[in-house]
Amino acid sequence: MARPKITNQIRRLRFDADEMTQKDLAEAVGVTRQTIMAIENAKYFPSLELAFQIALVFQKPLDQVFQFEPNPA
Amino acid sequence: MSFEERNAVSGIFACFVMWAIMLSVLLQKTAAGLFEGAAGPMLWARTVLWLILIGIAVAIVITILINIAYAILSGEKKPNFLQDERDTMIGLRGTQATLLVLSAGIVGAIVMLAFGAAILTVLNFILASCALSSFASDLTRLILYRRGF
Repeated sequence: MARPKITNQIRRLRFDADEMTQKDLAEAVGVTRQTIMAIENAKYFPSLELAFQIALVFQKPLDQVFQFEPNPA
Repeated sequence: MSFEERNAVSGIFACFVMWAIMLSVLLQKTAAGLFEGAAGPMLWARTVLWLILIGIAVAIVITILINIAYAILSGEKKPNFLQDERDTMIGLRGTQATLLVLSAGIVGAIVMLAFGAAILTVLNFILASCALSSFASDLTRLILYRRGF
C-alpha cells in the first residue's frame, strides 16, 4: 500500500520568518535539528503535537504548514 | 548527526569489537577443553559474565571516542544530548528488531535441544543470538536515521 503523501511548507515559512535557521526552529519546539531536517525533507512525519507546535512558532494554522494528499483510489 | 544516531554507529562498532573479543576468548578456552565436564557450563557462564562487563566498558569507551571524533570533525562546540520523538520512534523499531532476532534465537535454541545438541553449543547459540540482536537493533536504527521512515 502506497504511503499517503504529507507535504509541508516549513522551509518557505522559515525563510519568511526572517530566515529562521533549522536550529532555531528545533530549539523553539524542543527537538533536534536533524528532526526538523527530516520533516522538511518528508523523511519523517511529526506527531500531531509537534506539528501543532511548529505551526504555533510560525503563527499559522496547521493546514498552512502541513498538507495531506490522500492516495488515489 | 544526532546523539542517538551516533549511538547507533558506536553500537555497531562496539558489536564488532565485542564479537572479536568474545570469539577469541571462547574459542581459546573451548580449544583448551576448559568447558568440558560437569563444571563446563558454570565456567562458561563465569567467562561470559566477565565478557559482558568488558563489553559494557568497550561500548562506553567507543561511544565517548565517537562523540569526541564527531565534535572535532563537525566543529560542534556545545554537544547536544537531546532525545526527541523521532529518536523514540526509531528506538522502538530498533527494539522490535532486537526482539525478533532474540525470539528466533531462543526458538532455535529450543529446537537444537530437542534434536539433542550439546548444552554448551546451545548456550553459545543463545549468546550469538543476543549479540546479533544488539547488532540488528543498531543497524535498524542507523538505516532508519539515514533513509527516514
